[in-house]
Amino acid sequence: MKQLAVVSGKGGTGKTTVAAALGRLSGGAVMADCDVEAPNLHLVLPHTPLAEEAFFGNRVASIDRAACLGCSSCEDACRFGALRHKGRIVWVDERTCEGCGACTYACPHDAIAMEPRRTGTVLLARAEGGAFAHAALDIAADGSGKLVTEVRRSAAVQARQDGQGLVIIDGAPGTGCAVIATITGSDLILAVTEPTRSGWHDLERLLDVAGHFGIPALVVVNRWDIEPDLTRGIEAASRGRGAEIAGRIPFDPAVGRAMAEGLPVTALGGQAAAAIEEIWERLRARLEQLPGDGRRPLTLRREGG
Amino acid sequence: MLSGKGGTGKTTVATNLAWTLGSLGATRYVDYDVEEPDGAIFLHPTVDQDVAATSRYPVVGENCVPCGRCSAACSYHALAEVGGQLLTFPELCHGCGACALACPRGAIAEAERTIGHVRSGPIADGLDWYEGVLNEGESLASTVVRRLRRLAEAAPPQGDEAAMLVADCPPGSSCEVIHAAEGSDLALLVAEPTRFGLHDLGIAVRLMRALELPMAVFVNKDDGSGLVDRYAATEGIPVIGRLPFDLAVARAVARGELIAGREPWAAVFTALAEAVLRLTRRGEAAS
Repeated sequence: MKQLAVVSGKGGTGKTTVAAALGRLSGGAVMADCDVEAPNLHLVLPHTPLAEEAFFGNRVASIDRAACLGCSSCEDACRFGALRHKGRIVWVDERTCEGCGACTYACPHDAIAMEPRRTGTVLLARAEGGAFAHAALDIAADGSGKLVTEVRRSAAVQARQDGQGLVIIDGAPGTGCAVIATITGSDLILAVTEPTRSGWHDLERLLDVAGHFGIPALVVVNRWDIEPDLTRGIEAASRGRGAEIAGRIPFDPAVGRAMAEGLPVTALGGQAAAAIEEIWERLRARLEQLPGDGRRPLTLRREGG
Repeated sequence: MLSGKGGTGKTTVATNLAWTLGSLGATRYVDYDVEEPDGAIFLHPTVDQDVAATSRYPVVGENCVPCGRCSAACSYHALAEVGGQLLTFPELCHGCGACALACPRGAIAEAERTIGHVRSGPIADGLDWYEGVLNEGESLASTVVRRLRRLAEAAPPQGDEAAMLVADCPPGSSCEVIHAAEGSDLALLVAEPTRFGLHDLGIAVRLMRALELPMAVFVNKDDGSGLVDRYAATEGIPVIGRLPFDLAVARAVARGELIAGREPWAAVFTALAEAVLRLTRRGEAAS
């Protein structure tokens, strides 16, 4: 099984549009929406829900009022400012608590326990081509990286069950915890950017992260014809960072229409769809060259964060 | 300022709003999108302060007899015993200090490593810039956000009590957004009238309700469909500005240009700045 992660650095460059179209072109890849903070793939991937499971991705300090003497040792130990005491009563700010448990070691009266907290729901569905794993992060819940890892695990299990050789991951914007959880252990990165100064800047940072983890990357400039000069600059800079160019997608109103109808853009056809078909052929050839199944060089960093 | 969905125009609206507010009174623009900070592309600040954002990690002393307590205490798999030896993985460490507290022999000390930077400097009279940057390959964005917030809010007020701080938040709905937005006088949601934009706007609205922040909406790339307006009306959130979809705007933004100083867009940002000042003052009066 091979895993293709569609990421971007900057938000709103068209990751989900491209991922959904690639899924349709692949004719059966397992799809995973790892943008758990703002998931959109389910909106353009007609699917039937199969199962859902609560995910307990964090722990939160809980104080035994009978045992607590209000000494403030825990407050001093907490580096995140999640414990505050008023008089002899200690309060836990659950939104700030990182779940590290340092307070339980600092408490001289054994008055703090860590309790698991539900942070979201992992959802499994059947799309027209194949299985579809996604998630809903609970409002104001911490730990999106762990939920990303769980969605990827769920997608990988489905792929093995279905004998499907490819998982396509729709990732989050950024370069931090959620993105690192999305790309670690992936075989190939498709970075979708746009011809803007911001898109360029954010792509370079993303390619540096891909390089940090030793994952090969291909770049596609979406709506490339809005600013052709910036497109050429981005492509040159990408090559300079060791990335290949997967292709260009022109601005095409069919993308907006497909989104409004809740379909991948390849279902409607048009210039953007045609460009993504060419990109898919290139990706397929590139994926075939890769060893796959975790035979990439290992990194010590684990998933999540 | 936030959006849920990425790419709706948070930074476009935040930088142009900050620039306009800066002409009316002391203003700070704070780029909390530490994973992908882009505000400087538009605002061209002079960097006069650049401080490392650090996180602590364990350093194991000679008196360690690998007993397993520190690795059991670590929630982030940053310590492990391998072949009777204790190994540490600083990149995984969240700097919580649980290992040092758990060690019965006091064998764990802590050192600091740089995971990013916080920077600041002037843009123009009355307008200052702050930004946080998470180093590539690092995952502790929240640590940089918290460090940036200390820097941006510790700066002495530049004159009057009505000094404004425009917080350009990251996309998404996780801890970094919360750390950046919490305690604000107003959450200004930048929304685009698409199916994706509307879905993620809903997530941002629920998050802001959980934080109990008053909200207002700015419609970006407005196509006249009324999609965002109808949603905002249902939720009882005022729409306080809009920027029509316009390829001229898209091209100016692509090149990293501000548009608030040019017609016909100057009027949009002047009206937005006035609305924001009105709403944040009302917020102060109510608290």
